[in-house]
Amino acid sequence: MLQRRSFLRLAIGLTLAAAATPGAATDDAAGARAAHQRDVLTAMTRLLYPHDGLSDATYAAIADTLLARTSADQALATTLAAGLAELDAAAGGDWLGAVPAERLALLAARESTAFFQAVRSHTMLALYTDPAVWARFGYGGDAWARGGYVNDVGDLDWLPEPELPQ
Amino acid sequence: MSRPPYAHDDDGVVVVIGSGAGGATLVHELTRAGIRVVLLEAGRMIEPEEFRNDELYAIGQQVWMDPRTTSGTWEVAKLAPALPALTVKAVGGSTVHWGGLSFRMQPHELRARTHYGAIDGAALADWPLDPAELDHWYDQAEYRLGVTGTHGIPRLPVSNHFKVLWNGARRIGYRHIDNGRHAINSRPRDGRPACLQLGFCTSGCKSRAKWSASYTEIPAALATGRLELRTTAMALRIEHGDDGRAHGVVYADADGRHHAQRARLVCVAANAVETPRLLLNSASARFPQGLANGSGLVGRHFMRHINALVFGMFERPVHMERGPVAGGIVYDEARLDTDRGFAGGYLMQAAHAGLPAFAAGVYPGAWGAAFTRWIEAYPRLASVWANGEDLPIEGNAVTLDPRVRDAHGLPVAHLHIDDHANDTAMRRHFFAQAHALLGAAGAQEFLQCPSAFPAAHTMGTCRMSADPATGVVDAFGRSHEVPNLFVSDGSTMVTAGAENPTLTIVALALRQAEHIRDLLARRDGAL
Repeated sequence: MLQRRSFLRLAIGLTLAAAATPGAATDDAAGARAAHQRDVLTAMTRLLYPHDGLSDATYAAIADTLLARTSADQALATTLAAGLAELDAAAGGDWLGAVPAERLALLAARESTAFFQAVRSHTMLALYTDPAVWARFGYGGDAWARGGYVNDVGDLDWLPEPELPQ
Repeated sequence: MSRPPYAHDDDGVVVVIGSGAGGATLVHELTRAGIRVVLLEAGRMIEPEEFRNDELYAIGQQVWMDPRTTSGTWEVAKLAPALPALTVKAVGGSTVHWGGLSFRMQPHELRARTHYGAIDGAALADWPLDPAELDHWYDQAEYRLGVTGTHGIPRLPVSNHFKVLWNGARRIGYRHIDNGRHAINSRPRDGRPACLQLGFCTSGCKSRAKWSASYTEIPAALATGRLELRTTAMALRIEHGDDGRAHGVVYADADGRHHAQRARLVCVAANAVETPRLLLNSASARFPQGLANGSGLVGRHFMRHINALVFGMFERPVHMERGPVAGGIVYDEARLDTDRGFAGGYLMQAAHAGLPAFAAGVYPGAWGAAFTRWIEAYPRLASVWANGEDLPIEGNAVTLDPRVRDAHGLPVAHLHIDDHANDTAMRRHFFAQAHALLGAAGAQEFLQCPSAFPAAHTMGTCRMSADPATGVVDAFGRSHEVPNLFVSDGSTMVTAGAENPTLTIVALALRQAEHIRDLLARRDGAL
């Protein structure tokens, strides 16, 4: 189920990302650039909110939905393109090729930039509003659908029961 | 005697602005007494079927997002300036998303100037009424709201979150710990079912077990046949005549068209941000500082409570979300005891955040492995939240921001809040106590959040006074200057106390309603 949802989102994201860069199918350089941006963003989202148990595909899908927003948001497109280029430049041309500690340090140094915050807030919302992620980390989510916790409430058994005033 | 819909030029109606705890209660009381009311509500009616068990969705659905700006040393201005206040734009106002906690203020808090003494930089004052006078109204409000632990209403069942709070509190010596005082049905009551323990009180109660004015006071008032509720009606300006009396309200409908409703009497219940904003935006040649603002105090003494939050990570599951958002209370620190280094007190509350709110709200900007460890530990988390008394300070104020205009071309509200040394000392004390409590219950690690929470409790900006020079309204919320203008929300509160304000707002509205009924029946010359 998790893989199917991720696959669907990946597919939708890729379709939208491809549509966002017109002519990408015919312009190899632009296509390579877009693919590189996607790779860097994917790695960045995982560094921002690392979860060993979440697949690369999950993070790639988040990068795709962020890139998909750029088709309707030129300011975001500019911010992302400039931020990604600057990140690579700061790493001597290839941020993905740097050692993990350096990748993290370069990212952290840019925490107050609009680029960092745009990627961070998008990633945070994409991950933590996802019911599949909730299920993985043990958060119940929608309680109405299961009739509430009225039968489970107070089932913690490793502390004494409270004594309440009458 | 006419029935709704009322004509715009009908100057025999009472116009109430805002349908929250104060406005809706007032409207219910007035219409039951035979008084004709037009209620203007900026938001729409959101039916419980539209609520979702989804914290971030609920914010988008309910929260007032029209811009407000902020400044000052409070952490919100630095860390979360886009949303300085968390109020609801919908029928029912903030009673749609409140947690239901219903406390009486303590007598010494209503006499704070007498009991705390003068505090440098603060404008402490005693409320212009005898605290004992409010007992009757609190009693009525508790019955109206169905507050557990009062009137024979049983408490809600003990939740896991409360178990952690209770045990930690007992182990560090606290003795006044309870999971009562919820305006949430523990049994069917008042035509509404018992709580299902959804844990999404603050996303709107889908079962209607929680008291929200939108499905309690408003339908009851409509059933009298004397209320006309106009939703998506944004009050822009209160107009007055040459005699200095309010004679109507100009408002915009959903299409932005302006209408003017005449009024016999105007009651402003738009919360302590929008009420002063409306009065200030109603300035005229006769009232150049703003309507009813001869004292210059409209907007001043803005209070929001000290809030602070600590999470503990435990070795075994807690599942804090399985129960009401407000899981329980420790009352011990709500006392007056300046040996602790501050005046006033604070309540400690078990208040859960769901995973989305935890990720997005409790620690703005948090990222990285140190944070995601907490996300992955979600089922093993518990929290302690502080709700503490902040002081009335003249410079802490709601003013008009001339740089930012709303969709109607009016200046938006600007909230300026500077922390006071009393606030800092209280927070420091709370953090130490919260760590001790959670640790005593078994927490191994702690996450102390920045206090960058938007103001959900808004108070003080049209304070009561006996002397017109030191306040905006009298002890019944009646303007000192404009005899047929009342303020009917938390703006009139002189001090904040340690308690969540809704029960006090409802009690004051019940009391004000009786006063208005008496004044109208007497055919008081001014009304």
